[in-house]
Amino acid sequence: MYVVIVGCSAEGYHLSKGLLASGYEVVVIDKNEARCHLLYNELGSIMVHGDGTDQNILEAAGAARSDMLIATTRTDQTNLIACQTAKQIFNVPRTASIVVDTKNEPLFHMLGVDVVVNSTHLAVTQLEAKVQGKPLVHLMNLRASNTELVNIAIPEDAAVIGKRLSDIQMPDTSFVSLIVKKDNPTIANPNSVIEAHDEIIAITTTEEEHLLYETLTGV
Amino acid sequence: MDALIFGCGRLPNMLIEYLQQEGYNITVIASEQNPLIELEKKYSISTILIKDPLIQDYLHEANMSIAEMFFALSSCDNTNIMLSQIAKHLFNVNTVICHIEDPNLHDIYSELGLDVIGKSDSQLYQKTINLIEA
Repeated sequence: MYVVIVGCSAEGYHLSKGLLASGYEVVVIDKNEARCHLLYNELGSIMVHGDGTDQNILEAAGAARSDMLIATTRTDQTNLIACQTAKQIFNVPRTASIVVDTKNEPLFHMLGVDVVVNSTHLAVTQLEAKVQGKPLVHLMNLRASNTELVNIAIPEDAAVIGKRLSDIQMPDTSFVSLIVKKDNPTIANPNSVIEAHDEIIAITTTEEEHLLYETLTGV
Repeated sequence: MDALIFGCGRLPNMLIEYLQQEGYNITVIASEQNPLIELEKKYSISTILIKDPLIQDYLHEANMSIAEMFFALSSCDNTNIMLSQIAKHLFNVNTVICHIEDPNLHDIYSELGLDVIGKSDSQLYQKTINLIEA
């Protein structure tokens, strides 16, 4: 398996080390000559110095025979164009990219990047989950635009406690899918009764998220 | 009718006068402050200065969703390409014109369906006139 990595950011660096350790053939392209030199000493001759959106550089890196291209620069433009060039010119079977601006994620999917990792979103989710007493945590964005999976913890004083799901007026396009009670997940049904400290896994939209939060945690 | 221009070099300068004659409201977004101020002095247009890399927020501010035309004319091919694709695919702007200097990228994105103009200025002028008249 031959992998071309564009951008030796922190992510690119650790990824290339990990892949090398598992026996993959890896080439890393980076614009910064000093960084290429530094990494040459550590990782060996896997560095190509140049712009990963430049066809000649991609060719020199062997993109045409690669199984996958992974773009890990901190610039969305560079990542997108590296992936599109890889597909269009070198027929690379699989492309993956980091996106920094969360709003660009749908564009990357739409334009055929196979794997899109929203690094900002990932970091925010992790941090959000660690803020004490924060009852709503984003789990992931779904492919359909604006749709997301969230986890809401029911506070002790919520008005919905003791009610059945069917008796709660939910926002139009928000749906409870799982209710986790004391570590025991149960599939939500109209007769499920909400209790304090339940974790509700729900599908909602960015527009309705706030309303859903109010509905389930309001006093 | 709203037209949005990204970049504030020579190409945008050439276009603004023509678009205004055709009755367009023009907003120019760019990351260089001084040329933007110069443009503002010269023409009655709105300007938006880009101060950080999260460009999509500026496109919302510029009301891209109701713009009829978007021109990506900065000196950075990569940013032009990404913004043109955002305009076309996320904001459904009718007419999108993208300036690309690199001949390889020029070919790739023409093939992917963008209206691309290359180095020559007359190309931009002619293409814009054709699109407006069509």
